[in-house]
Amino acid sequence: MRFLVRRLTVLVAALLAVSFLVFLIPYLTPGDPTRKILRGRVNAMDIDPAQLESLRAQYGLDRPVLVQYADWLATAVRGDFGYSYTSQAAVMPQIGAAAMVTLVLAVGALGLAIAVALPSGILAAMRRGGPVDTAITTVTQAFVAVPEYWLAPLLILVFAVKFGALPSAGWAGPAWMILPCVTLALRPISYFTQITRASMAEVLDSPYIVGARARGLGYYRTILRHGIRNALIPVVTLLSVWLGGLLGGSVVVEVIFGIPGMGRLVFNAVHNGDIPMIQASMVTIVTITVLLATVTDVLYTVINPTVRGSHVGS
Amino acid sequence: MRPIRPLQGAALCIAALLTVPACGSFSSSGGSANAATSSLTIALQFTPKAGYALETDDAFVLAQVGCLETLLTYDFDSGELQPLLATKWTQTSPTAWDFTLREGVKFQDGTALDADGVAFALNKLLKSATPPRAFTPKVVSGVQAVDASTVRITTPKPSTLLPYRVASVNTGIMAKAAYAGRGTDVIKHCTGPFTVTAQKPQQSMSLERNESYWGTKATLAKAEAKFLPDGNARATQVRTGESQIGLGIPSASLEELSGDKSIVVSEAATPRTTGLYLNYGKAPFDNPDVRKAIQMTVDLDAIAKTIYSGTVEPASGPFAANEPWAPKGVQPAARDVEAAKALLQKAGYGPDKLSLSLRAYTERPEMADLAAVVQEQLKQIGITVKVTMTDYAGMEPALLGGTYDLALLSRNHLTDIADPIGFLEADYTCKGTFNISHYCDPAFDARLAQANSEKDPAARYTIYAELAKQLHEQAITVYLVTDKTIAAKRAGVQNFVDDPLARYALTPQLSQTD
Repeated sequence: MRFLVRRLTVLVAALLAVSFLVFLIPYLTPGDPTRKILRGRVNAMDIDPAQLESLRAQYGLDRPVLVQYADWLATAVRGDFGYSYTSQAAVMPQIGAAAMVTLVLAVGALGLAIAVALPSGILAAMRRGGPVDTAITTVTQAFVAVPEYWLAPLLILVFAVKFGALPSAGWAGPAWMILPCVTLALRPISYFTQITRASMAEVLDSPYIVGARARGLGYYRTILRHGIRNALIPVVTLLSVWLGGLLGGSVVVEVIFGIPGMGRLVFNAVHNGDIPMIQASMVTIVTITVLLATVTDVLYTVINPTVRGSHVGS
Repeated sequence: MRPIRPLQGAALCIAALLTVPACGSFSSSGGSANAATSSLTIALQFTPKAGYALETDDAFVLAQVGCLETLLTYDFDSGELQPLLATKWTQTSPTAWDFTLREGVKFQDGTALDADGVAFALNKLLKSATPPRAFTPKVVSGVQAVDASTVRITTPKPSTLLPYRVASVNTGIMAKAAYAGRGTDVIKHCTGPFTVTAQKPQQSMSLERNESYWGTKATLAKAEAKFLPDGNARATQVRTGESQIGLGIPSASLEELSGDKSIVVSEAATPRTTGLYLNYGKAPFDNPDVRKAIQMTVDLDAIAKTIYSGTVEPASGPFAANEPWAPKGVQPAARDVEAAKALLQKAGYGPDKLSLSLRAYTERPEMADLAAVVQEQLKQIGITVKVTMTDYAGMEPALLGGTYDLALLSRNHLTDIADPIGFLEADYTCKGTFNISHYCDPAFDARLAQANSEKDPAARYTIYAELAKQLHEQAITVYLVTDKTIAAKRAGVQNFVDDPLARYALTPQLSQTD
């Protein structure tokens, strides 16, 4: 209970801090926020000054920033995040739709990463120093250096243009998510493989594994029963960090593949000075991140009950 | 479309990685090169972002897909207005125009187009929080239904250009029901040859032929419009056959598309000119010799060939040579570095005596290269240039406040109506709302005011040409290139016209064969 109360307090504090900082973005970056909003709608450089003043008054942007923030906060705590300055539509349904797309993409990419990284990392640890370990380590370390803006067009060129096997862009069904998932998965594969290898290697050297083997338990059974469970804890931590990061959306991948996710939504909102959309997006992302951290802590105890006292109880 | 659940997504990714075929043929759900000839998919450059509010650029998307229609339309080739939902237009007094509506036009929801509905739609636009520049209270007083088939539009001042205003796509007419809720309901509320039947925000729009269209029925039975903001993605869609037409193709994709015999690439001049803007309001740009020296140094041919891969033309003023208001016989500035050095010397700026800042913005990908080339070329006459790249919002205060030296800008000169008067007024008159050159010549303003009251288009265009020549010859702005729009289509697509003003794409005549 104390744990949940503390997490809730962290969530509220984080939301307040982030929402205030984000509220300042349009005012701290160069350019008139009202011009950005108007340009977001009419896409014109030469803006009618009368329209500008009318819009400024309509949205109350001529008031002090702190007053504007207080007003926003008063309505946000009631669950009303308002309407987008650009689309004039309620922001939460738009964020909900984009977040769902990003969630699918993130879970797909990380699922793929785990499916590749766990066996690779475990295998590398079991064959430490050998050619298999060297090969896995070299290849996965190389993945870190592959940028998404390079990999995505390459995958499109091979699988969409050359072989015609997959769609090149859009978000219309399962086939459309394969290339973006692979693009997003490459770097997590690298990190997960390396952390799994390191963690598994440490576990394999630990006394209780040596003891289990001395008691006559078979090598693979020892690994399955005792090794993997303990080696997973750092992987789960890393997984939650990556999931939190991916849920913020990837602008590069979403633009290249034409995916209507959070990355594009937030990028466009910042570009257009769409304050209600920026604020609600950030609140959503921070909430999800804190919730993920909480779920991760709970998962520790499921994977290895012996850590309950040290994580959940503290 | 089946939604994808997160866990399902993970499983699919893994399964797909293992089962992707080595080769094969992928076809999109919206139609492909192998699909029946009655459907087609188009990849559009612009993504609707304002809930299809007609005062915004979303109106262009609705017009491009063959849904939205206006009272009149502007023929870019002939430079003349043509009837559309209105068949006749007459100036009944200096401040009033009457438009006679076409008979027998129905909205796609079955309601009839009448003067009351048109007045409702246009007044709604006029009273919106951000009315389009073509139809603001500054230029339009009101819209009334005179009788069932006549609409009267009044203006605060005598206006000969009002018919051009109702040819702007922002003044498209939709059924009353479209405006009932928050935002605009585009499903079955237009009058055009195609009916929007479904739309997925930020993704696509499904269309069907409007069987009760007042004009020639569309050849295509169905179409899908995809919103793809990335130019390379649009080019790839045409290469793979997922889309049969791609608009706004970047010049960088031209080489790969041109090598494919199943693809036809077309280029069309657009009313957009990229220029090097000089801050006329401060030294040294108040000195014509300095401006001319800069103009004579920048190598327009090299810029057009290298940075734009030859897809643009060197500019000879603010307008492209084929536009009806472009001055005749004016050539792009000839490059002469030695003469430029002499001019600088005459102006009191010897070698390395002039150090300037150059602002450019990141939204247009070519700007960084353009800035680097200008910097390098001006170095040849001893001008040191410091380049600052930001997003447009970041450089705008300096432009409007007159605290910059040089700036690169790409400007559309048919910003509100199909007549460049709005551009000339905003950019070059003393009280212009976008006079970033800080240029002020009362004689220029007076001549433009004459054009504003000139009824005869030919006479008006003569004045525009004269003013354009003045801007070019005085090097108020160093015009660099006039842009072109590039479209790509599969060879089977017939009767596609790439509209320079980005208003039409899906037309009744458009068809596709295998």
